[in-house]
Parts: sequence; C-alpha cells; structure tokens
Amino acid sequence: MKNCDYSCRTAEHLLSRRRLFASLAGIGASAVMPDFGLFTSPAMAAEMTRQQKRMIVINMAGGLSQLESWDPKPGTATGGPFRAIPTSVPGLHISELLPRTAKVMHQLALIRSINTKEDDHGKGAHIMETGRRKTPAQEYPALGAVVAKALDAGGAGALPGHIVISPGGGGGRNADSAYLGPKYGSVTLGGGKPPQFSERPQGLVEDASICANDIRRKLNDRFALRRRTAQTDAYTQSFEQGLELMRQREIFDVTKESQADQDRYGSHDFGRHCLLARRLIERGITYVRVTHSNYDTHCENFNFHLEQVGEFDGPFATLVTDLAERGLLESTLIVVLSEFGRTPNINHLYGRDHWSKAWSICLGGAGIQRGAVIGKTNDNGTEVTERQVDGGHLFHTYLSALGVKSTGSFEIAGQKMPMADPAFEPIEELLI
Amino acid sequence: MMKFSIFSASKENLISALRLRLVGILFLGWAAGGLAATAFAQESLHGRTDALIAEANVVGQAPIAGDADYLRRTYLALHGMIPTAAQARAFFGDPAPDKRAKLVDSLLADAQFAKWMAVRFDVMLMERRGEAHTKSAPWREWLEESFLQNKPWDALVREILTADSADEKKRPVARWLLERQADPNALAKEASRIFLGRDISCAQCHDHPRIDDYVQRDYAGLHAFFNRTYLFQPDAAKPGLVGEQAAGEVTYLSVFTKVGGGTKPRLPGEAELAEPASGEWIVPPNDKDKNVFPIPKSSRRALLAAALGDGHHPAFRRNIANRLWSLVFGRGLVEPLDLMHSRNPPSHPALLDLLAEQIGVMKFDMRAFIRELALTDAFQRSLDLPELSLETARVASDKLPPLEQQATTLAATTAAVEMETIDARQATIALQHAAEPVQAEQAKLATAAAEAKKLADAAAAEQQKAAEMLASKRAAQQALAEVVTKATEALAKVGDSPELAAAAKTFQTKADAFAGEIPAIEQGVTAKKADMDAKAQALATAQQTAAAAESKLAEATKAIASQQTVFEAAAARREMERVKARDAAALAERVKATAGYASALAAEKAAREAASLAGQALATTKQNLERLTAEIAAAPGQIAALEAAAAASQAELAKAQEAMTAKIPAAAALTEAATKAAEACAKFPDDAELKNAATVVKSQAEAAAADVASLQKTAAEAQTKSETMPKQMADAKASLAKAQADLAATQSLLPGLDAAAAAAHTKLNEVTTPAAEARENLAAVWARSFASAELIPLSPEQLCWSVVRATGILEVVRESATKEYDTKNVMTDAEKADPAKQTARAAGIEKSFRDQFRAHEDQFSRSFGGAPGQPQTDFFATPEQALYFENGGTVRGWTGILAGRAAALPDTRSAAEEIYLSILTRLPADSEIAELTATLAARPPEKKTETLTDYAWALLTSTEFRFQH
Repeated sequence: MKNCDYSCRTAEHLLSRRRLFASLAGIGASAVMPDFGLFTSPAMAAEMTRQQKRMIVINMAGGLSQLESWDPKPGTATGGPFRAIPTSVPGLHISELLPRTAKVMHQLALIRSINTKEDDHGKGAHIMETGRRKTPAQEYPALGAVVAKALDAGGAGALPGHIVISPGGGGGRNADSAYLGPKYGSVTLGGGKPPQFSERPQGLVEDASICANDIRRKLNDRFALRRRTAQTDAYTQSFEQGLELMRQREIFDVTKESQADQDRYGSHDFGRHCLLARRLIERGITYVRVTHSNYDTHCENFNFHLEQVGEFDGPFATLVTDLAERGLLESTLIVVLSEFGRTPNINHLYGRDHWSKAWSICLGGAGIQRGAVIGKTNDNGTEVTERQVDGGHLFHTYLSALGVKSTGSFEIAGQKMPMADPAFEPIEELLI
Repeated sequence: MMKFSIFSASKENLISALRLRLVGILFLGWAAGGLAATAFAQESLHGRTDALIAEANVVGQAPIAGDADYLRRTYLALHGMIPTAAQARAFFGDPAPDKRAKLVDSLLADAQFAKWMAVRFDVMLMERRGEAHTKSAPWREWLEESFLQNKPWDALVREILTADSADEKKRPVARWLLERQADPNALAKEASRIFLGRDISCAQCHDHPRIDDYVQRDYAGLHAFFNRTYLFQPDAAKPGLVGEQAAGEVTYLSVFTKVGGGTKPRLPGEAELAEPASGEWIVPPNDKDKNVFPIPKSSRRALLAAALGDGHHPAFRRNIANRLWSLVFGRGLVEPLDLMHSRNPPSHPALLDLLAEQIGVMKFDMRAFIRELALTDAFQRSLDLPELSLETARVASDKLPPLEQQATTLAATTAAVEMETIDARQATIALQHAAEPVQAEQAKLATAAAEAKKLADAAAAEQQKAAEMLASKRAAQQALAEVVTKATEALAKVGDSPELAAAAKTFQTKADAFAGEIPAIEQGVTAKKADMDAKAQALATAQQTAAAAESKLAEATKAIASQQTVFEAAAARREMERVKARDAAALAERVKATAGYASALAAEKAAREAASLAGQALATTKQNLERLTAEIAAAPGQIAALEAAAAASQAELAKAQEAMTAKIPAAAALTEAATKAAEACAKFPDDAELKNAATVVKSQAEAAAADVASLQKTAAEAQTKSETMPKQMADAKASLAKAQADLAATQSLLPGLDAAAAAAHTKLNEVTTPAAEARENLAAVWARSFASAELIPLSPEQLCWSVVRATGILEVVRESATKEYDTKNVMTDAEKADPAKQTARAAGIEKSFRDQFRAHEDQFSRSFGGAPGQPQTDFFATPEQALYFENGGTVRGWTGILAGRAAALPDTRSAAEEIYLSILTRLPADSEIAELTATLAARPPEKKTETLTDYAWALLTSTEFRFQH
C-alpha cells in the first residue's frame, strides 16, 4: 500500500458496498447477483462441503475397451490375452489390468449393457456429454453445465462450478453450456494449471493493481449515482470476484497438497489431475472432469491397454479410497466413461475398433448402490442380453444419483427446457 | 376526445381519458413541450415516431441528452465504437444547431458504418456459429460489401436463401445454410426466427399449447421450403455443399391431437404455393459417381426466396423493422426479438405497424430507415431522469388508485376473455375429436356402400349371365324341337329310313336333354334374380346409411368451422383486451413508479438537508468546544502575565517615588534659589552678571521642576496602572470561570448533537437505497417505453473496438500495417500517381490491419460473447473477463500508449482531459481533476506515466465505459 495514500479499501467501505449489493438484489431484470458467501467462514464452508453434492467424471478419451476393463471375457474368441480377477464384491470379476480398482469395487457399480448405437467419436461423445443425440436444430448443455446449474445453491462465488482438467490448452469460459448461459460454461485448467490470467503478469506490481482498482471503484461509485442496475452490479462485482479468485488461486495448485499425497497419486499427468480433482471437490467446486487419453486403439489394443489402464488403475483407486475415507463419497458421484467401447472382434493389427453396441461404464458414490452390476452381454460380448441402456438413461441416472429430479426442467426465458431427454428415465434399480 | 369524466367515458375511451386527465392535471408542462416539438415534424418518419412515443408517454419523458452522452451513443450505434478525443472536441465545439443531424449523416456515409453493420448482421444471422464448412471472414466481407452498396434487406435475404455453394464466389453467402448443416428442420426453425421473428420450434411436433398463432401447419409449410435441402458431403473430410432433391413432400401429425396432413410450401397464414413439376433434374444424381453434385430443375428454396423476398409478408416486414429498431435502441418494440406473437404484443403497437409499413415503402433501404430512427428525439433522450417534486408524488399517488382499479378490472376482463378463448379452442378441439369417429364411421359406411355396390353389380351380372344362358338354351331347345318336328315330318314322308330315323332320334334325344336342363336353369335364373334383388336392396340401404353418415360428417365439419369462427372472434377480442389491459397496467405502473421515485427523492432530499443541518450544528459546537478549550488552556498564562504586569507597575511606582523623594529637596532648593536670585535681580536691574546667574539658576530650577513633574506623572501612571490590575485579574479569572462553565455546558450538548447527526445520517442512509431503487424502478419503466435512454452493455465487438480506439492502439496498428505494406510494396512515383495502385494499396493496408486485429476481436468475442448458436443478447460478467483486463497484459499495455501521450502534455488538467475524452468521451469534472492532481502529488514525479496508466486502466474497466448511456 505504499505510494498509495488514496486507497479507499477500508473495512467500512467494503462492508457498506456489500450491504448495498444485498439491498439492490431485487432490482433489474436478470438475476445476476453473486455474493461472497461461500468463503466468509471456514466452518460454514466445511459444512457446505459436507452437504453439497458434487461430481467427478473421468473421461477415457478415444474409447476404453470394455473387454480390457469392466466386462472381461477371458477364454473366448474375443476375450484377448488378459485374465479376469475377483474383486471386493463377491462374484464380480473385472480385468486383471485393474488390480487396485478391484479392491475398491465395493464402493462402485458397473453398467455392462450400454448400447448407444453411435460409432463416431464426436457424436458418441455428444451422447455421453449431453444425454441426447446430436441434432443441428438444437444445442444442448454439457453434463457439467447441467450439474453446475442444477446444484447451484443460488450464490455463485468467484469460483466456477464447472471445471475441465485437460492435458493441454486452456482459456476463458468454454461454450458448452448452450442455453444455460456462460455462467455454467466450463473453465479449462489446461495441463492442470490454474485458470488463465489468474496470475499477475511479471512486471505488474501489486501496488499498481491496487491503486488502479481503487480508482475504478471510485469511478463506479460515482456512476452508480446516475444509474445502477443488476447489470452494472454484476460487472463491478466480476472484478472483485476476479481479485478473489486470484487470492484463492492456491485452490488450483496441486503442489500445495502434501508430498505424501503427491507421491500416492504419482507424478504423471493423470495422477496429478486426479489429486487436483480431489482438491477442487474438497473446496466446494461442483463438477470436475478429468481426461485420460488416448484409448483409440485400432492397433496394438492390448499393449496400449496394458500401459494405459495400468496408469489409470492406481490414481483412480486412490481417489475412490480417499473420497470414501474422507466421507466425501456419500455426496460425490464419480463416473468413468468413454464415448463408446471397442469391438469384440480383434482386427489384423491386434487392434479393436469403435463399438457402441455393447459396452460398459463404472460409477459410484452419492446415490449409486455400492457393488451393483446392471445388465449383461453375451458370452463373447457382441450383444447386450439383459437391461439395455442408452446414453439418455445414463444422463438421468447421474442427475438422480445427485439428488436432482432428472425429469425436471430449467426455466429459460420463459421456456421449459427438460434437464434430461424426456424420452428416457433413470436406471431406478441402480439408485439407493 | 377531450373527455375528462371517468364516468361518462366508454370502456374503450377510459384509458385515453385517464391519460388525458393526467396530461391535463399532472404533467401538463412536460406533455406540452413534447406536443409542440412534434407538431412540426409530422411529415417525417422520425417525427411520426416521436409523436407516437410521446402519445404513450403521458407520464413524462427524460430531457434530451447532453452532447457527451449523445455523441458516444451515436458513434456506438452507427460505427460500433466510441469517437476519438479529437472528434469529441470538434463536436462539442461546434455551435451549429443541426450538428446532430449532420453527425448522423456523416456517420452513415462513412465506410465504418458498413463494417459495423456487417458485424451486427453477422452476429444476428450466424449467432457466432463455427466454421465447419465455411469461413467467417469472407461471409463478413460479403455483408460489408452489401452494406457499402446499401443492398436492401429483401435482396440480402434472397441471396442468403439461394446462395450457390458450388460457386466459389457465392459460397461465402451459403454460410447461413451450411453452418446449420443444411438441415431442413434447423433451417425451417431458423428462417422463422430470423426472417419472421417467430421461434416456432415447438410447432415442429404440435401447435403451441399457449400461443395460438404458432401452429404446426405453419411450421410444416415453412419446412416444405427446406424439406428437399440436404448437406451434400461425399467426403467427410471436405466441407459440404447445400444439396437439394428434386422431389419429396412434407407431412405432419400432431403428437397431441393426432391431427395432421400434408402441405406444399406455404408462408405462415397464406395459401400453398404453386410449383413446377417435381422430380426433374438439370444434373441428375449419379449412382456411379457420388461426387457428382445433383441439381434439380426447380428449387423450393428459390421459391421461398421469391415468396419471402418480395417483402409482402407482414411478419417479414415487422421482423426487420423490430430488429433494426433494436439495433439502434438496444431494445426491440417486441422483446425477445424472435417471439413476435399474439401473447407478446409490441410495447407500441401503432408504432410497429407504422415502421413495418414504412420499411416496405422505403423498399427495405436499411440505411435510410436507420437514419430515421437515429434522428428521433427518442434516440436522443437522456439516461438521467428529471427532478420530481413532492407535489408530483402527491398528485401521482392520488391518481394511482383509480388507475390500479382500472388495470385490475381490465386484467379481469382479459382473463375472462382468455378463458372464453381457451374454452372456444377446447371446444374446437373437442369437436375435432368428436368428428373423428363420425369421419371414421362415414368412411367405413362409404366403403361398405361401395362394397355393396360391387356385390349388387356382380349379382346383377350373374343374373344377366344366367338369363342369357337360359335364353340361349331355350333357343337351342326350340331349334332342336323344330328340327325334330321337321325330321319327323320328313321321316313320315320318306318312309322307312333307318338313317333318318336315327338322326331324328338323336335330335329328339338332344331336344329332350335340353328341355330337361331348362327347368334347372330357369330355377337358377330365379334364384339369381332373387339374389340380385336382395343385393340391390342391401345396396340401397348401405347407400342410404352412407348418405346419412356423410350428412352427419358435413354437419360436424360445419360445426367445427363455426366453432373455429367463434374461437377466432374470441381470439381477436382477446388480442384487443390484452393490449388494453397491458397498457392500463403499464400506465398504472408508470404512475406508481413516478410517485415512488418522487416521494423517495423528496424523502432523500429532506433527509439530506436534515443530515446537513445536524452536521453543521455538530460542527459548530465542536468548533466552540475547541475555542473554549483553547481559552481555558490560555487563561493561566494570561493571569500569570497580569500578575507579572502588576508587579512591574508596583516596582515602577516605587522607583518613581524614590526618585522623586530624592529629587524634590534639590528642586525645592533650586526653586527657592531662583526666587531669591530673581528678587536680587529685581533689586539690581542693571547687574548683568547677576542677571546671568539668576537665569542659570532659573533654568536649573525649571529643569529640576520638570524632572519632578515627569517623575510625578510616571508615579501617577504607575499608581493608576497598579490600581487597575486587581480588576483585570478579576476579569481574567471571571472569563476563565465562564469559559469553564461554557465548556461544561457545551460538552453536555455534544452527545445529543452527535446522536442527532448520527441519526440524521442513518436516516439518510436508510432513504438513499430506496431512492436508488425507486430511481432504477422508474428508469426501467421509462426505458421500456423509450421515455428515457437505457443503459446498454457494449457488444463484444463494440467493447474491443472502443478499447483499441480509446487507447490509441488502433492508430498504432494502422501505422504499422501501412509501414509493413509500403516496405513490402515499394512504389515508383508513377505508380503512386496511379489511382488503381492507390486503391490496391489501401486494400492491402486494410487487409493487413484486419489480420492483425482479428486475434483481439476473437479474444473479446470469446470472452464476452454468447455460445455459438445461442442468442447473443444476454449480458453476463464473469471473473475470467475481469482477469483478462486485470492480468491479460494486452489492455494494460495499450493503456500505456494513451498514458504516455497524456504525460507529455504540459499540465495535469490537459492530461486529465486527454484521458477522459479519449476513454469516456467527456471532459473530467473539476473534482476529478483535483483527484488526479492529488494522486499524482502522492507519488514520486517519475511515476507520472505509471499513475496515468493506472487511471486509464481504471477508466477502461469502469461501468461508465462498459455500458452505452
């Protein structure tokens, strides 16, 4: 604060500012009145964390082979070289590539009868991401946006509710929330790094920022005497939120976790991203998606899966164990999904191709029955023989497991937009 | 029209009567000014527009905005960016009375207008869709070129709908079709939204349950224009083309009522369009070569382009009038822009009617139309509301109850009519449902009758056949009988002829056989006749029942039609009632908001005055306290000084008396001597010596006497002084006592005054927020009726362009683009003189400039724009946007350029003016200059540019910059 004796950042000033925000909440057409509530009291934050429902999605990009994971068929023409091993759920076997996951299967459930009838990467991912088939006539919001909005208690703090941890890239809010609006669009943490621009650039001293922001506040206070609307408040607050986000930047910094934990999760990207997901969920972020890439094994399927699933197994099992031990699994839904599975037929390059007719996902936590298995495929895994499930059913099931009435609607500009495809319903027998 | 009595007014006139009462009693001053101003301009569209708006705004309108707000607003609306500081200075300094109209014309004539319109229409038409098949830049260039030529809207729409994606030159125009994947349903929905202002996506599957004029048959009719369109993309890795089949029809079926049918292409509410024969190709599809792009002989999209593009359809005209209005005013007469329907009437129905008619008359000349809108008073209204008095509040409050009563009554009437309409609609649907079995029965009976006819015809044919057979048998038998007779006769004549006898016998046998057959045949014929008669009878019955069913169906159909008429009449009445109820409610709302604001304002003013008085009283008392405290503090010193002075006077007196005591005897002796000497002299008048001596003695005696006198005076003075001292001391002590008493008294006052001031302040705080709320409430109500300006967030492009213009980076990049071009393309003098070369140079520089800026524009539209394919009108503010400004580096870097320019100016005032004019298009207030001066003084001089950078950044991130006002 040196060289800056014109600061107006007194406690009183901030207090009256907040009071005014609160009192003006009723003004204006659009409801854009976030508050600072989430972070005022650590005790309250902890309590909220316990009660608030959250979701972690692990996206096995490219298409995980169900035969090398959740639905092995050892000893058949299509089964491949790997064995099936028993799990902590009596009678339930999964691929031997998942030895650590096998030990936590009693916390999880499997759906082995998915038929999404869509073998294209983009369109398959669209079904899994929105619970609906792609149509040019209508865009639908992504799962994370729907979850972030459905579970939004009304007060949005500085932190976004919809986080996508990707191996690279990153930018502002992504355009994946369709009619739910940019507030629920995902924020990418490219390479697991904090959000773009949340760090002060080199050469900009903090003093300058404090001074400039003080001048900005004074100007805004003056302009508020002319006109003050929900929009102007939202705009002035977005800067306070930005500063708040900078102050809370550590939330996104996985290196602040203990060395022991970092060692447990491993130093590779996927391990770090799983630990980051735990960190974010523990700090009240609603939805986090982690991507593990790339399972599109048209050749050398078995070598690739040996390596990839091997990398996945440890951090995933650790994450499930941690969430359970910390009492967070009760409120956190965790889903391991892909855009589709892989062909039972092994091609001449020892690969498996795209296969949406009969494949599996793993999920657990929140309102999902522990140790359950839904559906069956035939002996060589080429067809669903029991309880066929579509992407629409899965979408309903996720929402229901989070305590959201999946047949409900969002009210968007006077129109009712169903949260999930009304042609489907949740898999009731999987829910607690 | 001048009815002033509520009681004598008919229901229809009630609202206008109430309005007039208000005009007459409450707001005469404002309204009179408005009417006088509009009387002159009745002829022009902007004049007529203002008259219609003023008519609705009887409660009042904001004054015309000052030059600063007006200039910034007009630049933003017509050029998409704020003016430069130089442009602002020139405009502010221009004394011409018509400078605003001149500004509008010069901005419309500038190429930047076309560039900005290209952006607005790109966003409106494409809603920031991606680049799956086409690039955005050439499409935007086509739009810009179109606006440069001032291409009319209808022509633009025709080109968009018929763009030939196979023609490289026209391909950019096909972006509208291609980025919707050339999907028939997507195109039907989007064409309806964007060209007709009607989002009828619901009606794809059923009539809208609540909006009577969003019906499935209209959707189907629009769909039929696109049903043959498809995405032609033989190679998924390459961009597609807009393909069209040569045949294919649309059928529809409601998922609710199961009512449906088929339709040819038709515009909403109009007849099906005639079209050439289907199924013929110019280039037919080639089964052997999937890369051959088929071309049908007749295109249904071309049919739409012709039907829509001739501009006759009312929805087409209303849509573009409303969209252009919203483009200038930031809010449509109907909001949302794509929900124009019976339940959502325009805020100013007559105005939209006028504008929709006029844009047709103007042949869809958008520049001329926008000019009219920009010239209205409505566009020039201030953001700030006028001061309203307590009296206004009182009168408005008095007027409110009858208005609210009226609004309630009309709302009830509307609800009743609404129920009637719903009932009528339900009745229609019920009749339709009831007619379904009748229709089925009729169809069944008609089929049965046809079946019976078939049977009757068959039986008749059978009978006929049998009768013919009988006749032929009989004829044969007859012939044989004759032969037998003749043969018998011949045998009788010939005599014994065994051969003849055998033949006759044969004939006889045959004839007998035939005769034997005939009765059976006769029987058959009779049976067939009976069957025929029975079947004919059945046919007659069936035909009778069928006819009955048919007439029953006709009755049902007639009943449906008549019920439909009832429904339509009810719906029409409902539209009327809705508008009336809406207007009454709006009027009540406006009066209420006015009363609320005026009283809140008065309360705030009173509280402010009270607070100021209490504050003054407190300040005065505190000053007194300070004075008394100072006095008391000074008193001991004063008393001590007085005591010292008293002592000094005593000492002086003593000293004088002592000196006097010492000098008096000498003086007396001298005086005596002088007397003696004088006596002696008198005795010896001529003795000069004696005389001299006597003089000496005399003067010495006089001197001594004077000395004594002086000492006496000193002593007397000292005496007097020391005599006043006790009084002075007493006075001083009394003053001290008084001051102490005063202090105690004042101090006892203080808590009360403090409390009073605090209370007054609390009161002020209490009324400030309601006053602000009341202000915002009234402002919102006024803005909705265009009685005042609205606060409009800048679009992503406006924000980007305004930031680059404000900071001066625009010129920097332009210069660098120019330099870059000139370095790469060195021109000879001859070339420099060549106009073609100069044009090429300008184009080259422009291209380089745009390339350099695209990244920034993209950054802003990503951060501040809506998602692809979503409406782009929603305002939102995220921490990520703030962080881009805060830490993005770019903007802060740009502000440095402006700050550097300002820092070079000679004094703080000039620097402040440069920064405020560049960014906020206004001069700084004196208080703002003082603030900047203080800020600069508080920091070391070498940090001047840095401080100015902070200032520029703060101005750029302020609400004042983020919004248009």
